[in-house]
Amino acid sequence: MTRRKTLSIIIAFAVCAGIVLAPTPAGLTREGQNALAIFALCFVLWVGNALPLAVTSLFAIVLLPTLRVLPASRSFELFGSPVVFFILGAFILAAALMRSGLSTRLALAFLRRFGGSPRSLLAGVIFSGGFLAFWMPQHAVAALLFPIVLEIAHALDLKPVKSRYGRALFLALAWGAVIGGVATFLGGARNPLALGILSQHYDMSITFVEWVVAVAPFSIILMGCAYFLLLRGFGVDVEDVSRAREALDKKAKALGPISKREKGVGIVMILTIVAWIVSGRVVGLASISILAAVALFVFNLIEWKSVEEYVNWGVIFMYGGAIAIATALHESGGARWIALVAQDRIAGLPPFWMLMVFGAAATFLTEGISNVAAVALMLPICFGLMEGSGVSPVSVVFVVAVPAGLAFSLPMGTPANAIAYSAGYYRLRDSLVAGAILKIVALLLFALVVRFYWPLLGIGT
Amino acid sequence: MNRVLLILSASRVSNSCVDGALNAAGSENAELVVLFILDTVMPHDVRERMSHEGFLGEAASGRLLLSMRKELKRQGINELAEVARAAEKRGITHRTELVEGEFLTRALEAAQTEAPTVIFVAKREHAALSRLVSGSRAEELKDAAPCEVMIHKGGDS
Repeated sequence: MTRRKTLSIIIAFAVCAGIVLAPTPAGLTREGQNALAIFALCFVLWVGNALPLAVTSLFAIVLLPTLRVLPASRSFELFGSPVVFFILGAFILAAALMRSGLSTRLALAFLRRFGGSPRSLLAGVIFSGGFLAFWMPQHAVAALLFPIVLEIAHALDLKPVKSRYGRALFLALAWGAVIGGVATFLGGARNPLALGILSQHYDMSITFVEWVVAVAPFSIILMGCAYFLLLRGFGVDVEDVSRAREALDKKAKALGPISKREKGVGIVMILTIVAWIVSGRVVGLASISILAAVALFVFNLIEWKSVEEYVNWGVIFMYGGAIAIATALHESGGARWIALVAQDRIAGLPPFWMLMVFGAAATFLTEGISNVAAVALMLPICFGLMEGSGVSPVSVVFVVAVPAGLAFSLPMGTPANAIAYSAGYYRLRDSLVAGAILKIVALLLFALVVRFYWPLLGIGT
Repeated sequence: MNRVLLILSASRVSNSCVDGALNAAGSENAELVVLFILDTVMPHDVRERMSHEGFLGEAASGRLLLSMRKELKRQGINELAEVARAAEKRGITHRTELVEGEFLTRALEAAQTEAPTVIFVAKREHAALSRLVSGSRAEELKDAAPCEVMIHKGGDS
C-alpha cells in the first residue's frame, strides 16, 4: 500500500472517531453527528482513493446501522434504489455496444466524416467522443477512442509532447468524452445518482427528455468552445491528414460489413431510448433499462460471460452506498445542521449566485475526487442550504451534477483524463492551463444557461 | 572505463537531462548507458481507475492496458534511438536497454549492475501536493543509489 493510501486511511478513521467522540453541538442530534462522522470518513477515503470507491460505500452501509444512524433494514434497503438498477441496465447496454463492436464502428464512421483537414479531424475527435458519451459511459468512450487516436497520431508521425497537434488531439479525446458525458443519464452515472438522491429526499424526478433538453445544448456549445480553445491554444503543426484518413479507412475496412449482432444491439438501443423518452415517467427509467438488458439476452445479442467481462459489479455497491450516505445525512438532520452553520456565511446571497457557488464548488471538487463522490457529498448539503430559499431542488440537482462532471485539468479528476494523459502526448501543465481556461469558459457558459435558458424550460432560480 | 547511466521513462523525459548525460559522458570519455524503463505503475493505475471508478470490467480495461503498454514501448524504442543517434554524432560509446517494471526498483537494479560514476534522471511532473504526499522516486533513487545522482526537472522536452 502506498504512503498516500495509508495516510488517507489513518486520517479518515481519526476524523471519524474525532467527530463521534466530540460533544454534540446544539441543534444537532446524536444520529446526525454520527452521520457526519461517516460522511467525513467517506470524504477522506474517496479523496485519498485509499480503498476502491465501492468498498468505501460498502463500509458506509455497514457503519450506518452500527453507529445507529439508520436501522439496518433501512440502510440495506437503499441498495434497492431504482437508480442503481437503471445504472446497471445502462452498463449492460454499454457492454453490448462494446462487445458487438458497434461502438467502434460508430466512432470510426463519425471520425471519417471529419477527416478532411487537421482542423476538422480535431473537431471529429471532440464531437465523436461527445456524441458517443451521450449514449455510453464517458470512461468507456475514452477507452474506446484511445487506440483510434493513437493510430491517428502514429499515421501523422506526431511526436509525444513535441507535437502541438498531438497535444491538442489527446486533450480533445478526454474533453469530448467528459463534455458529452453530462448531456444524458447514460454518459455519467453521477446524473442518475443525483436523480436518485433527489427522489429519496423530495420524491421528485426529472425525465430523460427534461435532462437532455436542459443540458445537451450546453454540452454541444461547450464542445465547440473546447475545439476553438485547443486550436487557439496549441495551433496546428500538421498540414496533411490524409495518412490518418487512410489509417481510419483501413481500420473501418477491417471491421467488415455490419453484423447481425451489431444491428440487433443498435435496434435495442434505439428502442430503449425511445421508451425512456415516451414512457419513462410511466414505466420508470430503471424498469426500461432492465427490460432492455433482458432483451439483449432474449435475442442472443450478448452472453452473461461478456457482461461479467465488461461490467465491474462494484457499480451496485458504489451507487447504492452513495444514495445511503446522502439519505442518512438528510434523515438524521446532519445535512440540515451543516446548512444552518453555513447559512450565516452565505446568507444574503441571491439564489442565482448561491447556485453558481454550488456549481463552482462542484466543478473544482471534481478535479480532485471522483465525480460520483462529488455529487454524493455535495448534493445533500446543497439541498439543506437551499431549503426555504424558494429554489426548486431540481435546479440544485442540475447545478451540482452537471459541473461535477466537468473535470478537465488533472488526470486524477476522471478516468477519461487519466487515459488521455497516459499516452504521454501532452504535459501536465498543458492540461492544467488549458483545462483551467476551459473550466472558466464552462462556468461562464453554465451561468448564462442557468440565468437565461433554464427559466424558459421552467427550471427557475 | 567510467560509465554514465541515463535513466528515462515515458513520464520522465527531459532534454536537459539527456544533454547533461551526453555532456558528462563526452567530457569524461565515459560509456553512456541509456536505460528506458517501461513503468508498469502508471498503466496499472489507469486500469485500476477504469475498473474501480469507471466500473468497466476486465475486457475493456485489459484492452486499454494493452494499448497503453504498446504505446509506451513504442515511445521507449523511439526515445532510445534518438539518444543513440545523438551519442553517435558526438562519438560517445553507448549502449541502450529497454526494461519493464516499477521505476525505482529497475533504476536501483541498474545502478547496482552497471556501477556508473553518475546517474542522470528526470523528475516526473507532479502537482506539488501530490509530490508532498507520495514523494519523488527520483529523490528516493538519489538517497539509495551508490553513486552521484543528477536530477533534472521533467517535461522540458
